[in-house]
Amino acid sequence: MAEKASPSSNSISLKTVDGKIFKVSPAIANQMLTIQPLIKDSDSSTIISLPDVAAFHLTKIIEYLEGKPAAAPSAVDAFEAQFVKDLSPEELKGLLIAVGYLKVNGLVDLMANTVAKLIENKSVEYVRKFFGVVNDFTPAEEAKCRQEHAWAFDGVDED
Amino acid sequence: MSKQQRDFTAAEKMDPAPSSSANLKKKRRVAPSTLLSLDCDILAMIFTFLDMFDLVHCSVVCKFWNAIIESRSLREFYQRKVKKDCSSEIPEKPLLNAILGGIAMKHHKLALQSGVCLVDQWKGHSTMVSQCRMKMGMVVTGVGDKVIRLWSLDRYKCIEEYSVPDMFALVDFDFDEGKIVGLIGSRLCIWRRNGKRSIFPAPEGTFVKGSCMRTKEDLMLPARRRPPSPKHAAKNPDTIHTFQPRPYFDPEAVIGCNDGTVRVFDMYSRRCSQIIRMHSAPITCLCLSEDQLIVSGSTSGSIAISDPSSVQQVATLRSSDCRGKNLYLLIGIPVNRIALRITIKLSAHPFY
Repeated sequence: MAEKASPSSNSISLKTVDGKIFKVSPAIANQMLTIQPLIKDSDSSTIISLPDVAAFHLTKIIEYLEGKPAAAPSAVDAFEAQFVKDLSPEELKGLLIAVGYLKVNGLVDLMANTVAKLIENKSVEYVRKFFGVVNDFTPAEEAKCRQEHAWAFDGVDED
Repeated sequence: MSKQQRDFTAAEKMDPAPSSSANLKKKRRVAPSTLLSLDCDILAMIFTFLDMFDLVHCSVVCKFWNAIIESRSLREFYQRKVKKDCSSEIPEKPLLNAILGGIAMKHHKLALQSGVCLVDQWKGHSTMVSQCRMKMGMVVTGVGDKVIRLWSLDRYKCIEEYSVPDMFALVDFDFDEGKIVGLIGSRLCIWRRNGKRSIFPAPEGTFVKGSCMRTKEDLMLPARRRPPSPKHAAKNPDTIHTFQPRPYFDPEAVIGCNDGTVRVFDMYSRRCSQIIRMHSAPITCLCLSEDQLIVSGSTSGSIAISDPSSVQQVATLRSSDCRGKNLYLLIGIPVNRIALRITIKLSAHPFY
């Protein structure tokens, strides 16, 4: 973990959308690139609000940043595998949004990879349902898209 | 994000003081539940981890996703991966869309050689036809409707048309300079290029249903068309003479049958001159190699190679991903439009 000397040695207070306040060390906060610029101006009385992040997600993010082993890549892999293992797809999606918003070092990749694995080799309908995306193609447009790339639509897993 | 919430956004400004409960209430809102709330950077990040197939699936999900995928270059998607894997395979073409053709080729790499290819296509038949042969600058298409058509590759024009007798279904065909030989029902039918047609019934009467057929090329013709493969020549310089024009050789039709045998018919004496048992399952496709070996694939997914001159099984190949369906692809590509100038290669052939 890249421990960066922060001008403020005090802990940083982060407030989630559901009103919980988390105190984290500057070393941890520094790894959230979105709030990084705010840290040097803050002191112990400052609270940084995170409108896109729920308490559960921030808990997980802090757990990740604190728990991630600094040493061997294999240890990191094992830790990351364990970290995403217990998350439900719903939690993964929420966490991805939070992580994407905070731009958390390392975790962005991990989450994107994990989510990507969930939609690997799935049908278009499954992906839409999974992400709650509304199909705004007209049937004709969609048929045209599928026709163009017909080769890619063989052998999709069952939903 | 609404305007009043904007003030509390971390990226904008820090909260000046601990919030009052009123503030708190104002800030509370429903957490976003769809990835639409993610900007395209995060989506692109996810796409980075997907392969081409999944990317194409995602491009059909909605217009927003489609726009992201179509607008970015493949390099952009793969940059991360390439860095990670130190892979040498860096896509060069700028837009994803532009290279999808190439990816499709890769997908069918069992049947198609990679490399630059030029595809011409035109409407050949009114219905789907499932067989096509190409030789000597000509293509013959058929199986599916009642006509066989012979096309010139120089002009993309139909030169000749041969009708299939009504009571029979055409199963397979092959051709050379002088004639087209078709397997119809349980008979062989020969259309001469000069217009005469002759059909002869299966000699033994109890002809097992054939599923595919090739004619042996007339060995009188063209050493120029059939250069010895360099590999073969180097290995075995003494046998080069077998590639030279030989004395006349009777034309033969080789038929793969449903009982797993390959039968060789002499087209002059109209006799079955040889029966070779190659598989235990029905044969789906076969082809003849330049040195007259018979390569056949069966529904069980195995490929067998036989030498008819010694009636010896040369090799049997078995591959888990080479099911009968794929074996069809190796030798005949189902088409109702004709795709040309694609080099078709029998990838399982061990000699070349």
